[in-house]
Amino acid sequence: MDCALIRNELVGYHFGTQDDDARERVETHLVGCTECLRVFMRLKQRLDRGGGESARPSSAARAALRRDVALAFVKRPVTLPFWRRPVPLYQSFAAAILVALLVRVAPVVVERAMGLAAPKATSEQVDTSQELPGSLRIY
Amino acid sequence: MAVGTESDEDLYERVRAGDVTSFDRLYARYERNLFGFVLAVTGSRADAEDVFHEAFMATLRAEGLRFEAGGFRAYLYTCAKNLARKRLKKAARDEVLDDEPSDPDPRPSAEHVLERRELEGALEDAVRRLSKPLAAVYHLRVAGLSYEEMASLLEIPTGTIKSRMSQLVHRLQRELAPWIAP
Repeated sequence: MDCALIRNELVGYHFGTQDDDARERVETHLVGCTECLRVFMRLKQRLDRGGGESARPSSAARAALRRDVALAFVKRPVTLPFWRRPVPLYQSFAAAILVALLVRVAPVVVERAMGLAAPKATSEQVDTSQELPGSLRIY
Repeated sequence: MAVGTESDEDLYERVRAGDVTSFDRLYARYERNLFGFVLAVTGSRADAEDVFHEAFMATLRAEGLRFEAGGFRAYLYTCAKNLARKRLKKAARDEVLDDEPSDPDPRPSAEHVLERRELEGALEDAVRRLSKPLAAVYHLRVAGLSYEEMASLLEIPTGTIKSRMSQLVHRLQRELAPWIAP
């Protein structure tokens, strides 16, 4: 069959508007004619893509929609104030050890601190009533 | 409906679970055909972008939906059509989708033909010049809707859909003839 006649039916063939006879006629021709098949594949590719670049939303519209979808559906972690956040186990252990150390060490530290703070004797009192060793006797 | 192994319904569930990359895939499937359909109904690019946005969000946000196979597409297109009509009514431009398609600009000028030699450019021009009813049918058909689905969505008889499809094919065949003739 004439390629010109078949080419004139390719759009209808693509959209499935032909009757069975016409459809079979086109298919039979496409099987045997590589040039018409190539043209049909090219046409089909374009038709399947819709109305070209202008028939799609702008990149700004796409970005706005994507942002709204993310805001609506992406679950974000809830940020609590630090006093309401759960304490990890290791931090609890560390705190317990610190408290135990403080309880044990604090009295000693306080005692030492107080001892250091007590007034020092300015001169040592000498007990003259006791007899000094011979080497220290004053003649 | 389209490329990829996952169904629209699977992607819909994932988007609702917070997966934005699934939204990207869903968007890629619909950006041309749904937008083309909405553009054909509203006749305004700005309105079409708003309706496209609202239809997608309304479909994704709708609570308690469990789509059967193909259900997502049907719901999305119905949503888009209703929103587009609502917008048209608001703007007092409800002459869209009337039964008799108009013929706004039948043939491209010779200069324009020379500028757009490529088949893709020719197709884009041809689709842009389609009347609203034919453009709506074109985008729905390219999206894979059957005659019955189109008739249900546009609320017109299946016979009218067949008639419009026939007009569409003749129009495109005529417009694209210089690029596909031997």
